[in-house]
Parts: sequence; C-alpha cells; structure tokens
Amino acid sequence: MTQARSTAISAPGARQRNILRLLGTAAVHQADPAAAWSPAERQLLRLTTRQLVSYPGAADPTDWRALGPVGDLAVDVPSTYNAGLGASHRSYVAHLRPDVWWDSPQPRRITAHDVVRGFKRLANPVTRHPALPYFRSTIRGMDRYCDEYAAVVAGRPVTAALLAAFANAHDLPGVFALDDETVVIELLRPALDFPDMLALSCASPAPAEYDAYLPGSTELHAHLVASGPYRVATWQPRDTIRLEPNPTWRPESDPVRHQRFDAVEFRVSGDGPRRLADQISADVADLPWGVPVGEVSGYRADPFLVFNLRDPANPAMTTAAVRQVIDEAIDRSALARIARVGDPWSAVREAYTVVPPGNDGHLPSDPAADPPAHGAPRERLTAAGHPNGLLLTAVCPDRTEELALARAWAADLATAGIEVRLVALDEATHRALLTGAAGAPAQRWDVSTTSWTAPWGYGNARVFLQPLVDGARPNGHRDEELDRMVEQAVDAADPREAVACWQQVQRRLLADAAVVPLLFRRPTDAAPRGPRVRRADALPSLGGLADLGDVRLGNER
Amino acid sequence: MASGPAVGYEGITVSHTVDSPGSATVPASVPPSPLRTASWNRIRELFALDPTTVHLNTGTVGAMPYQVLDTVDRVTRQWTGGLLDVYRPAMFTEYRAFIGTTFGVDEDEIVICHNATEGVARVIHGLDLRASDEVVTTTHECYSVLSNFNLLRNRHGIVVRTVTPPSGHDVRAEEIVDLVESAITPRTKVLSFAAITLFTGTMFPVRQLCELAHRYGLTTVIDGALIPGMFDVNLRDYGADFITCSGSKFQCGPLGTGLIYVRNKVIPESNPLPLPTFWPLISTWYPMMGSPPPRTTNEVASYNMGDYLQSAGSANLARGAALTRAFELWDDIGRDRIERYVMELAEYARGRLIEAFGEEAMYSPGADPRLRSPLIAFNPFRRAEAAWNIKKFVTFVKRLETEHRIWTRWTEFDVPGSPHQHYAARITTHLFNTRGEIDHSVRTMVRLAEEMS
Repeated sequence: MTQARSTAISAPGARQRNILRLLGTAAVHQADPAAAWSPAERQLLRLTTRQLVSYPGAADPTDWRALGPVGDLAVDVPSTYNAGLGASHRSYVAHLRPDVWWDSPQPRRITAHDVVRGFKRLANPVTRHPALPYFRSTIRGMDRYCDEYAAVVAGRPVTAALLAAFANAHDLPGVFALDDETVVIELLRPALDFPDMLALSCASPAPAEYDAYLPGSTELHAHLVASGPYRVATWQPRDTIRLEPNPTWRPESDPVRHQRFDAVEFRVSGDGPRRLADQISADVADLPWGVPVGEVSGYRADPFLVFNLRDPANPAMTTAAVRQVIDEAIDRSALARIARVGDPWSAVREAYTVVPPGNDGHLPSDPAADPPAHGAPRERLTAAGHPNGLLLTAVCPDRTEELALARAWAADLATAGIEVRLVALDEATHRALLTGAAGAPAQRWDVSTTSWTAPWGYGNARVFLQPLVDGARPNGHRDEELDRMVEQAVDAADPREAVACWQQVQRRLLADAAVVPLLFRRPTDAAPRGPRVRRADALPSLGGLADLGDVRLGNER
Repeated sequence: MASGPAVGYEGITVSHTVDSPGSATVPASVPPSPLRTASWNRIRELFALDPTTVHLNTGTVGAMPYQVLDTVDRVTRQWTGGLLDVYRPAMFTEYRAFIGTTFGVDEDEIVICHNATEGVARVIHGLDLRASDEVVTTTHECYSVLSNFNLLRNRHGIVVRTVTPPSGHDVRAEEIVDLVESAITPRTKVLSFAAITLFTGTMFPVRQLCELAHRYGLTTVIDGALIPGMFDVNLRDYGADFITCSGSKFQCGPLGTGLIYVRNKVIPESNPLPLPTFWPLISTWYPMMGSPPPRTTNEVASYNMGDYLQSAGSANLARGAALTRAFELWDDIGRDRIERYVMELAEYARGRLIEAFGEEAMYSPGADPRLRSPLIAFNPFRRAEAAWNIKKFVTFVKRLETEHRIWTRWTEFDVPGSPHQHYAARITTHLFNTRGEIDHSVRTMVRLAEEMS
C-alpha cells in the first residue's frame, strides 16, 4: 500500500501492549468521508478525520453536553454570540483553528478551501452519500450542484479527472472560503439542526490529493490522508484494519479526541455474538466495534423495508395496494425473536411507524386510527390485480442476522402469494443501490431491507423521514401533496411546527406503505468490555457506539 | 438633594443639579444656562472623551459627561453605609417626572429601568398575547426584540411575522409602510419596530407606522433605544403604546440605564385606540390581591402604571440621579439645538461618505430626508461582494480602532432578494463630534479600504 502521508512513523515494536483492540462481527468498507455512513464506519472516522464541529464524549450520553456539538476544526460552533451566525440564521461563518494539519507527504494546514472541497465531494454523483438529502434541502445551491454534477457524468465513463474537473470549475454557491481560515456556509432557510449536520463525518474537509481518486474507491483507500489523531496503516476491511498515530495531529488543537495508543486494531470475527462476548471477556480484545456500548435515549429503525419506486424489477411495486399487502403479511414478533438472538445487546420492539421512540416526531401506532385491512393478505393481493401471485427481487446486506431476518419475512410473504428472490450484497453495493449512486451495479430490485440510526439525537425530526422522500433515491417516495408537506416541514423554523409537519409526512408515507417498519432497537449497557477498559463512552450520534477518541485502558500511558 | 445654579467643568455654569431623589423642578428664576449658547467645542469639553480617539460609535454607547460620572460617584457615596429608606427613593418619582417633562409625557408613563433590553423584554412579556396571535416586526430589529418575541412564540404559541426592510440610499418611507402593511393579517395584534435601526441606521417613519397600527387596531411596541439624546421629541406625539429607550447611548447616561414609555391615558389626537391590556412584569406594587382598576378610556389615568413597573425592590439610586443629570445637561444645551447639530453633522458625514465611496455603497437611506438618522452604514470596499465578507468588516473596524484610534462598528443584516448576510461599517455622529473628525475619519477609511480592497 502506498500511503499519501508524512514520513514520520512510530517505531515498530514499540509499546505493542498499548494497542486498543477492537473485535466486530461485520466488516466496514469505507473510510472515505464522502462515502462512509454506517455507525461503525463513522466510529472509525472519528479517529482519522476532523469536522468543523463534533460531539464531545460524555460519561452520561443523555447529558445535554453530549447532544450538542462543540468546535472541532472550527474554533467554536458558529452562533450569534461569536459573530458566526446572523440573526436570519441563514449564514454561518466558521473560523478554523490555525494548527490542524493534513498528514500529507509535506504536512500542511487544513484550510477553508479544504472544507469547501469536502462539501463538493459530498455532492459527488458516484457515492450519492446517504446523508445528502439533509444537505440538499439546506445549503443554498447544493441541490442544483448535485443535479449538475450528476448530469456531467451521466452516460459517460466516470473518472476521477472528470469529477475533479467539474468540482474545480464550478462553485457551490452556498459554501465559500473568505480566506484560508474562514468559511461561509449559506442556507436556504434557517435550520436549527445545521450544526448537527456539520458534525457528520461526511462534512469533513477533503485534501486536494483526493481529486486524483474516485470517491470511495480502493485507490483512494490506498491514499487516505488523515487529519484526526490516527491514520490508516493497514486496510483489509474483511480482516484487519490497523491505525497508527498520526504524527501531524496536535492534542492542543483537538478538543474532542485523544491519542492514547500506539495502534488501534479493528479485527473482524465471523463468530456470533456469544462467541464475541466470550473473546472480549477473555481479553482477546478490548471492545466490540459496531456494537453499542451504552444506553442512548433514542431507538433506531433496524430494520425496515423500502421499495424501488423508480425502476423496480417488478412494476407491481409501484402499487400502494401491493405494498400494503407486504406490510400486513409480515409477522414482526417472529422477527423480534430472531433479532434478540442475533443482537443480545439491544432492546428490540416491533415497529409500525417510521420514527422510532425517543426521537422527535415519534408517533405511537394507533390501531383505532389505522385499523387492520379486511381480508387475508392473499385475498388482498388478488384484489390488487395479482391473483397468480408475484415474484419480487429483494436485496439485503450480506450479514448473518440480516439474512436470517430477510428469510423470515420472505417466508411470511410467501404465504401471501409473494415469492421473494433474495440477493445478498456487500454493504457498499447495497448502499449504492439504495442511494441511486452513479457507480451502482446493474442489479434490478424491488424491495430492500435497510436500517437507520439517528445521526443526531436532539431536534432530529427530519432524520428518519427526509431520506425517504428524496426524489434522487430509487426508494424516494414523492407525490405532489407529499412534496408540499416536506417543503412545509423544512421551512418550519419553530421546532414544534417542524415536528408536526414531519409527522404529517410520516402518516402519508405509512398510508401509502412507501416504507414498511419492522423493528426498533435501542442499545442497552449489556455489551461486553474487556478487562482493561476503564472508560468507553457511548456516543448518541453513533447510536451508542463507543467514542474511540476517548477510550481509556488500564495500562495506558 | 442639591439644586440651583452650580459650576460645571471648565467654568461652565449649569442651571441646577439633582444628586438624590427629591424635587427636580427647575426654579422659575433660574436664568437660561450658558450652555445654551456655548460653542460646540466648549460643550465637547464636558465629556469624558479620550482626546486621542474619535468616537463615532454612539449608536453602541455614548460618552458620559464628567458631571454624570461625578453624580454616579457622589450619590453612591451618599447612600453607602446609611440607614435610610431605600425603597421609596427607588421609585425615582421626581426623576421620572423630570424626564417625562422633557419628553412631553407624565410621570405615570415613564419608568427608569436598567437598559433598553430589559425595558423591551418587560414590555413584550407584559403584552396580553395568546396562541395564534400574530406580531409583525422586521428582521432588522435588535436581537433583544427578536429573541423575546421568539420566547413568547415558544411559550404561548404566538406567530411572529418578519419583513426585511429595504436598504440603500434611495429607499423611501412609503416603501417601508407598504411592506409592513402587507404583513398585517386579521390575526395581527402587535406591530413592533425600531425607531432607528441599529444595522442600517434607517429612521423608520414612526408616526406613519403608528397611524397604520391605529387603522388596524394594533398595539405598537417601539424600540427607541437611540431616541433619547438624539431628538427633541414629544414621545406621545409618535402615537405608540410602548417605547423603550437606552439611557447610555445618545443620552450619554451611565451604562445600565434605560427608560420605558408606557401609554397610560387615551389622548385621541395621539392614539385613539383603547389602552391595551398590559401585565406589568417585575412589580412590587401590583396588587397582591384583586386587580387594578379598569384602564382609563380618557385623558385621566385610572392608576399609575409607571409605579407598577418602577417598583422592583431596591435600585441603584446613583444611576437614576446620573441619568437625570444627563437629561438636565441636554436641556441646558438645548435638545432642539443638539438635534439640529447631530443631524447636520450626519448629513455632512453622509455627503463625505458618498463622495468617497459612492451612493451605491450606502446601506442607509439618504434620498428621503424622513429616513435619515445620524447612524450611517456603508460598504467601503471596492467590490460589492465584499459586503458579505465578515472578515473584511471585522478587520476594517478593528484596524480603524487600533491603528487610527477611530471607534466605529460593523453591523450585519439581511437585504431583500440577496441570499447573503450583508455586513456594513457604521459611523454615528453626535454632539461631541466635529466636521474635522469626520474629514479625518473618512480620509482614513478611504485609505484603509483601498488597501484592504
């Protein structure tokens, strides 16, 4: 591997005992901020990247201090009180710390231009980042920029040079650098959750070196440039990822992360949860990764079904009556039993609404308001015009538990006359299909399992719903009335009004069965910790995964 | 209390002084103060100004006259360590009467409070607003106005409708009135605006807007932070229900002084509407049982609303005395004379700025004399897009202060139709400023802006 990085490296063999060892049941595939999204991927990025603002770790994840970001690459969270936010709440000015560095061959400071480049990369059509809907509706000009970016690559072989040429020739109107240390971000409308969006890893700055590689590509992963306290030394996603200290990182310029270890190792275990717990108890590893280590207040939607509404393999998928049959045919209680075995570290509940409990806009299901449909699912499928049944193609991440769940709901659908052809995909491919990325393989599909963890925990009414109404995604449900509701929701400056608007959106999505909730999960504190672990705080923004930036071990320096 | 002629600084005799609560009535025999005809250079000597600086930021805070400064010190000492009743004098009855006379209103309509922010908060939260009631205001209001209305929105579910006023040299009063009227709906209950906006220095057409409010039956809340000390006005003539003021800006009283004007009687030629229901927040004297009498419907107050608001426990008596002292000084100099001087100097400054930077650089109105104020906001940089570069303005103002000892400020505001937050440099002219200072400052700003452009 040829790494684009500074030449200073830690002495081999030194203090090998001071390694943070993590063991996880699933691989991660992305360390590119423009592509990484799963909580486990973002957990890793916590160590290798910086954002303008970030959440601090807190021993109690329900502490309000854990819910609001603080200055990270930016000196402070832009606000009216530090001349960072005008009274209209539409213009953010972020002042960068002067001593945050890229681990590039010739270490250099991170500048406002790198922040601008990061936002442009986020708009790239190749990875179509899952969080993009939040930004498209918020940053001035982002929506059009994404569309124009996509138009440039449509029907052409996508190359890094093509992408870079567009990005370097086109300004993103709402994001610009005043000078090296000041960046302005202009919004279409006030968005009280915008600091939370800035804290997402996909809003990280990007070094100029990244222009040479396709976002999310293997080549880019061989040339990652770190800005956090660690850098990637070994990148074998299905086996071992090893991080080593980033020599250009300076503790005095990073208020949320620490560099306590000589290395951090992520290893993948093919074993089940019980075996994983046994290994950690036996001090084979210190912490699980991709597994929540502490309670957070909100549940996650995990899993739920979405449909390919734009270009399904079976056109029947666009009929609400068919989707409603699917919704009603699935036995959630059976799924909950499977999930409890596969994920003993979470509280599991059956889900009938989109927004999980503990998040803004959650609506308890109301049987009186939504009475069950009359007739058996099979009869209703016939009534919907499919007396001979249907064949659907379902895509699903290739993880053990998710496959087990998929087989269970596929069996339920079979009893309703719907045969399901299950296609297991690696996570990156699966994500590309769902987001409609330009680089997605030509896999036709009708229905998919997916999951969503709230990327911020406070004032988060939009987080579960907005991606489901994004017209750029194959599963993005749209109709005129829904568009009006969404517009009203994103326009609502008053958080209570926004919640009410998003609840309307949710009701309409459910009424059309545009999404089928299956289970909600919330982390408990049952996850295993190795005997050396003295501190591992759960980060609400990562759904309760450990804040690797502040783990303490018994034998640390 | 001491009253009667006294010798001020630099040998200038002032008409009287009020050091502690008591009658502040000016004896009829007191001759006009020599300050009435004193030169502006002599008047400038009354102020605790650093002679090495040019103070062009009275829009933020004024400079205290030495006599005001002394009054703070003297009265503080008078009341320190004594066993006197501090509650009765904390009503500031005589001071309120004196200040009220200056503004053509009565003691029951004037309250001395801690600053304009506190004043406007007490007014806004005293309004009888319920869920779905609407308030019309502008995006160019002081944060303390917008934040308190937002608090009411969160607390009671009111609706706050804001309009962004036009800015620039050619703006006319009718544009502002029409814009405000377009935001009024059948649910609107309150119209709130600044008499002079702090961001662009636009003198709002106050009387016209109040008459608009009268036509729609609206309660009017005016942020008049900059009025005292700038204008020779009768507050009642505006026709507003509430006007909140600063004592430390153009009036040059001590920091931490403000005024509330609260309409407490119905004088039809001023404001024909019935008095609005109002809840005087922070009040010792509001009845502990029962309610005050019904509010009057004529020119005789049915109770002293000013007392309800003024009674808030012990108070800093020195501040009341010192603020009144500042009012006395202004009366001695002549408020009409001060207004004339301040406005003439502003016009001189506006002309110099237009000459230097062009009309298109001006955010403050100039073509319509009704909208002019002594606060002038402008973009000194060559390129229009510099107007949304906060760094340039922060640096510009900082460099004026540190390298040239010229004290100005930068402001930020929305401009209709622009996606950007705009920034401006702002100067303010006051009675202690001179044409020479304006010339020097404009020359300096031209050089600096050119260098920074």
